[in-house]
Amino acid sequence: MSPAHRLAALSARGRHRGGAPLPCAKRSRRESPEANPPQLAAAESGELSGSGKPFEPEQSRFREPAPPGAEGDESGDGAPDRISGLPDAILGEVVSLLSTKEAARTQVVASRWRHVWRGAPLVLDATDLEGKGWPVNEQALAGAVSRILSAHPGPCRRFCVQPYHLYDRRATVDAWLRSPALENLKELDFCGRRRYLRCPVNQLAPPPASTFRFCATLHVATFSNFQLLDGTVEALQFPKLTHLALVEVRITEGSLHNMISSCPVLECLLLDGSFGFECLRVSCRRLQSIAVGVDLYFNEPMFRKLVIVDAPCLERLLYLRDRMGLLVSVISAPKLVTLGCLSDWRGSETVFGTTAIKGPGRCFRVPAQLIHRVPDTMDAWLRSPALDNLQEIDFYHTSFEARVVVQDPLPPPASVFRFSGSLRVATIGKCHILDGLAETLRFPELAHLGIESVRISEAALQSLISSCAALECLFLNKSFGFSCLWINSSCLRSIGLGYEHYRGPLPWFKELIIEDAPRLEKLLYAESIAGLNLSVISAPKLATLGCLSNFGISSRVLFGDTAFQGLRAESLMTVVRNVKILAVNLRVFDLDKVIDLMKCFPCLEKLYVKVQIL
Amino acid sequence: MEVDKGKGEAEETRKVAEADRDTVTLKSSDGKLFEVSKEAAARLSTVLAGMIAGGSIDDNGTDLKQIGSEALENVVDYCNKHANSIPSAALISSSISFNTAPFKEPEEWERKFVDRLSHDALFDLVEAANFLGMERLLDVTCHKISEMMKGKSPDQIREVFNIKNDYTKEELEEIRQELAWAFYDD
Repeated sequence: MSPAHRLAALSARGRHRGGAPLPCAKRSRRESPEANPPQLAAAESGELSGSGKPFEPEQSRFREPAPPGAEGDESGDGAPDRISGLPDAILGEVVSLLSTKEAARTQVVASRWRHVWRGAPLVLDATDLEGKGWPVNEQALAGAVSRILSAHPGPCRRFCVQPYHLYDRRATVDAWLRSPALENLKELDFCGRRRYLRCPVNQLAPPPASTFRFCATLHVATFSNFQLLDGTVEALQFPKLTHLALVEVRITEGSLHNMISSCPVLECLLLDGSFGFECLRVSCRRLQSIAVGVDLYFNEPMFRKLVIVDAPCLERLLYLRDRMGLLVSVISAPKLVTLGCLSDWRGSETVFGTTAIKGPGRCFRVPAQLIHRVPDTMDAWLRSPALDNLQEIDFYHTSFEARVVVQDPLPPPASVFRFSGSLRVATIGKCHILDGLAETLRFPELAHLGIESVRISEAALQSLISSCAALECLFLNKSFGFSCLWINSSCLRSIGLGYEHYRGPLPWFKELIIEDAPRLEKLLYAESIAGLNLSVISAPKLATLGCLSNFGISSRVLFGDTAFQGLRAESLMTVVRNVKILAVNLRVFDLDKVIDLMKCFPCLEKLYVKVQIL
Repeated sequence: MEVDKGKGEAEETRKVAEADRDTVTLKSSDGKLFEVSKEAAARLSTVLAGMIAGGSIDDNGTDLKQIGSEALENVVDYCNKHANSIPSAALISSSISFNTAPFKEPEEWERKFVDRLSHDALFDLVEAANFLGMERLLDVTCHKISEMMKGKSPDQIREVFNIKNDYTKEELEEIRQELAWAFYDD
């Protein structure tokens, strides 16, 4: 059989499997689900339950071509409608990647799309139905969930509901979970990302029994705001579960261990604000990531100790929040490379305790303000042998802290500089780099350097940058203590300048001179750097420039002989030929200005214009 | 990645290593030849895997009559890139989201791969991936198409994809009523 024939036979089989009748916009909307073409349903359930013919599972998702006639007509304006010509199963796949509302709305695009949503795997995320109003109309929201579950025949890929429904309309939630549309559910999420606890912790209810009818098929599960009873957990098995999150769940120590060991293929475990247990000992062959957040509870056993007994695949250990001082002890985790805090809500007091982590740490992320809050703890962390030969360090800002400028920051713990030989990526935040220090350091491997909210003198900044012989990307944000920066670098490829608010007694950033940067390709700066003078003397490869703006105290940009004050070219001796991408920010849209500007950049390929008032 | 060999040369290649060649040659609808790693082809395409296993691979160039040379070049390019890509270190070090399913998201290089395609080339590639039973490439291309739809009104979607609205006003109104929950905020 020639390949072409074989393929033809395959697609013929595909067509047979699908058997989709021609879609018709006029079809009554109250038809029973059976009358709808559940081609994907057939394919999916075949795949999941393994009930397909033995030879076929591989081809079971083979998408059959769209029925003829469903091809989009070529409308008058030339370009053909390619998307409507795609097979239903592919359109369904596309639709299932949209948000719950957007997916359903595709039905109004054209009659070709009318039946696609029902044939597509359902993604029902109730947080997407909340709307913009506040408070959320929970009754209406619950009504919408019920309506979707009765309108869509399934299968459902992801079902996400707020846990409060469990307390306000338990019977409804039970009915949702029993809905045929949810058969073989892969992802169940009680919205663990939000923190909703509405009842006292000792009154947390167990979830309806119907929650556990998906155990065999679940890949991802987030349980939140309920209590898991010992008797329930004992009977559960999650053979396919790779991601498990327990958020504000009350569970006993025995049950927690039972639960984790009933997930043989578990890769990610998230424990956030859960309680009822004191110690978790993890022995998990496939586990790659573990994240813990610890909250304070009264009259309840609290999570105090995490022991990684044996986790051969564990790569990440992250702290979400820790108000308790969790003791972490690592016995065997040879692949552990990332340790860090994702946020430090109310400050972290984590103690590394008897940490004995083998293998080099690759990345360490920690909120910058901990330098000030717990300098000694920070120093102890940085001295931990686990971090030897660290490659990435990130003192980052939480969004709230980012707005606060510390006028007189402390110097970073000296221990941070023990990584200078191995660091490739570093973000230094919220500290004071002392003059003598920068002169003695060398960062031979450092390719990306971020300096945020840092107090640093001009000399120290210059010597810091020149101590990075391999620097490719430089990002300067909200830093102060210097007014001018000269760039002379043979390897620098991009420079980013962030917001500049500092107006204290120390000098602030006023001038950037790119004297010689033969490899510089991108120069990006935020619009709010008021009055920054930028001179480019030699940067032959500079192709991306932005954002020129014309409000506030406008910045002056000098390109060889061409000078711009704000957006206006002052002297137009030469045009700037190497810039291909330019971004400008205008308060009021002015076409003439834009056209004038474009004359100076004759080789532009892309122009981004941001306008405040049209 | 195009090989574009003359017929004689292809003949020779066949003679050299009949059985244990580690590449397969594919022929587009317009007769161009492309070479692709056998391992990657078998791993990424159920159809090619079936053909390799079934011995129905033609060393002079397996005819893929439904796929044009531009699309086939992209397919082959994708397979070869996939064969060479190692899970990126960035993926390991970046903070991860625990609550979303990990398996569907395209990797950075896959995003770039589809981002550079023209509108037509993208759809040619979707069709080719479908034809060859390439699940991963379909996921990546479908993801790209969905990105093109996100945040857009039905009108804007019609505009982006040149879709003709064939509903009557009454039909539209009926559907909007039925889906009131989906239009709740607008």
